[in-house]
Amino acid sequence: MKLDDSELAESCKRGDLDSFNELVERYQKMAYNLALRMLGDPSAAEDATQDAFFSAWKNIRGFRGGNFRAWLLQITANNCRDQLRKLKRHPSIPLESLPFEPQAPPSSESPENYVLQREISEQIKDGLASLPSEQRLAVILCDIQGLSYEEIAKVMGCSLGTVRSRISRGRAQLRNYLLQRELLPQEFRLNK
Amino acid sequence: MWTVFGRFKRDNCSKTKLRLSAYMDQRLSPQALDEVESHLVACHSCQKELGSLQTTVALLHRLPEMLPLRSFRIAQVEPSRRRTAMPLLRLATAATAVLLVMAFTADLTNLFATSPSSIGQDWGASDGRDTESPTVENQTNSGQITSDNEGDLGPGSEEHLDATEAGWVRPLEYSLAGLVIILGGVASGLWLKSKSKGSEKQRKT
Ligand SMILES: [Zn+2]
Repeated sequence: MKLDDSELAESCKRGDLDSFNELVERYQKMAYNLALRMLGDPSAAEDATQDAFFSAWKNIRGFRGGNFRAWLLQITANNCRDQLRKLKRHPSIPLESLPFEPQAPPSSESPENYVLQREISEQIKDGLASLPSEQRLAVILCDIQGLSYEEIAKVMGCSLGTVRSRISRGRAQLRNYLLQRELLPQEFRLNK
Repeated sequence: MWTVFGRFKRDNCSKTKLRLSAYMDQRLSPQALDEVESHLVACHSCQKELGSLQTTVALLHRLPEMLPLRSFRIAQVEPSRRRTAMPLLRLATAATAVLLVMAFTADLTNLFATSPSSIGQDWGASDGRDTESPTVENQTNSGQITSDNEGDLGPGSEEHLDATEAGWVRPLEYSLAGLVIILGGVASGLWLKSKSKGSEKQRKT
């Protein structure tokens, strides 16, 4: 029988680490991808994700029921903010210049398509890095992770109106970034 | 007349463009939705804007999900095992050190002179033999160690005792001393390691 998140979280509160690791299995990919898109660096993303799960386990009593996924992503987002502050104070490598792990092309895709897709992925990554961090977070949660506005408001700890305007401004700025680099079709170029 | 209409259209355009993102997500009130839709029908520029936003979002949707190179499961055993191993090790070191001290003390007070059973016999019989001790001493001084000497042992006959203990007491003391050094070294090494690990972990969280 598969337990739902709230049931697992309840046994976590009684100290059951196995239940917590079941939740880790469910959400580690999501948390890691959020951190990776926020930070742009795989090893920083791993650190932020591991720290997020550590503090989630340590503070599991602070979870008052409801949406576990949003609670966990909120902790992950906070860890990302900390990492970004650290990177800002000790800039080592700019976000845009770090490539993600190369992945083998899926068998369904032609090599040309794969190369193109990777090129676009890299450009989008750089475009995301150019956004203010809260707009970037909102866009990632909405358009990459597919969360609802309500869930995003929980993760970000803000109102629905703020979520809506951050997504709107983030998308527009990313669109401008891609247009400047001619990554969007010709017909979308402005002033033409 | 055309400039007034133009400005009206521009105002409408900027208002519409601000709503396009929410429009795509079906997050507009019925009235706002109505306004946006009727504007879009007539405005090529806003259609273009909408198209570019939709393409941007489609590109975001198509981003591949990346796989972390490791699992983030939390292991409980490791830190707690280290914590329980430390006191055990310290206890073993302390116990060995105490044994060493006891061995030394016993050595100095000549408890190791004979086997426990003969000591018992001797002490039982010692009252009557006290006067004989000096003669025994003389015998040992001349280097004679005979089996019947054992029966004559009493507290205070030092030289004689030294002679009989030598076989196994020294190796015992040496090995105990070695054990204390090894256990102490390992314990303090582990302690230093756990101390630096602990501070590292604290920094991380
Ligand atoms: Zn318009």
